[in-house]
Amino acid sequence: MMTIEDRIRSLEDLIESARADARACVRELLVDDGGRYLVAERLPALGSIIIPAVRELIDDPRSSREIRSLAALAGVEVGDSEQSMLVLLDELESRGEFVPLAARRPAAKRAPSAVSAIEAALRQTPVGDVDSVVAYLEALRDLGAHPSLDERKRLEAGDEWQVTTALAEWHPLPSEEA
Amino acid sequence: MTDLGPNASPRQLEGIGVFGPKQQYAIQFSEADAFHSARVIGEVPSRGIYSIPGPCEISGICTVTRVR
Repeated sequence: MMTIEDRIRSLEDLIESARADARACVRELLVDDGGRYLVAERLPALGSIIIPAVRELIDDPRSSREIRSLAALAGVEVGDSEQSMLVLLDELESRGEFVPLAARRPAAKRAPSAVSAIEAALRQTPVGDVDSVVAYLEALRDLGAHPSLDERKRLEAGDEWQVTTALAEWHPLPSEEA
Repeated sequence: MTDLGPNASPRQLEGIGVFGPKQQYAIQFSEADAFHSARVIGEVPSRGIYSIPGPCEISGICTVTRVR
């Protein structure tokens, strides 16, 4: 019969093995075959066990911007509100490739620190960049914030139906509310 | 969901997570129909990666095409 000590040692071995497996999964982001986004999409299924490996990639100066951003997207999803969140805010500020996700992910996690970064990114985005503008408007709604009246005028003047629909649905003016 | 056309290469489709037999068909509908009945989300628009939350119902004309 196993002693308690044996059982706990065996459990610790299993935990260490799970940590190593999680790290190996996160390091799949290093493979450059066009599938990195698909890897990042799947990593949150592992939960917070990926956070140390995610931070390792973020902190590694050899990591490309794509790797850091994708690692951070997975990290924020599983609760890394520190390094991963900072990377996403940086992605917003520099209007990188993953801005729609960089806006939505902190918003979904109700991170109020993202509001000013999202507002700034929205101000710098041409109305014709519909996907980014709609993502920012959705993120602001999720954070309980609204575009300023000046910003709203600029967006409405662009006459993009997706943008005007998003404004009407998510940021109705007081006179428009039912 | 993607805005890559029916002539997208197998490699492009793999890059957005469409593998094997799923590459043989395309279901096309207008963005306007989808936007009003669901919500089109641009995940990574630069790579043609979009999604719509499920479950959802798209009203409008949908065309199914065999592409290869």
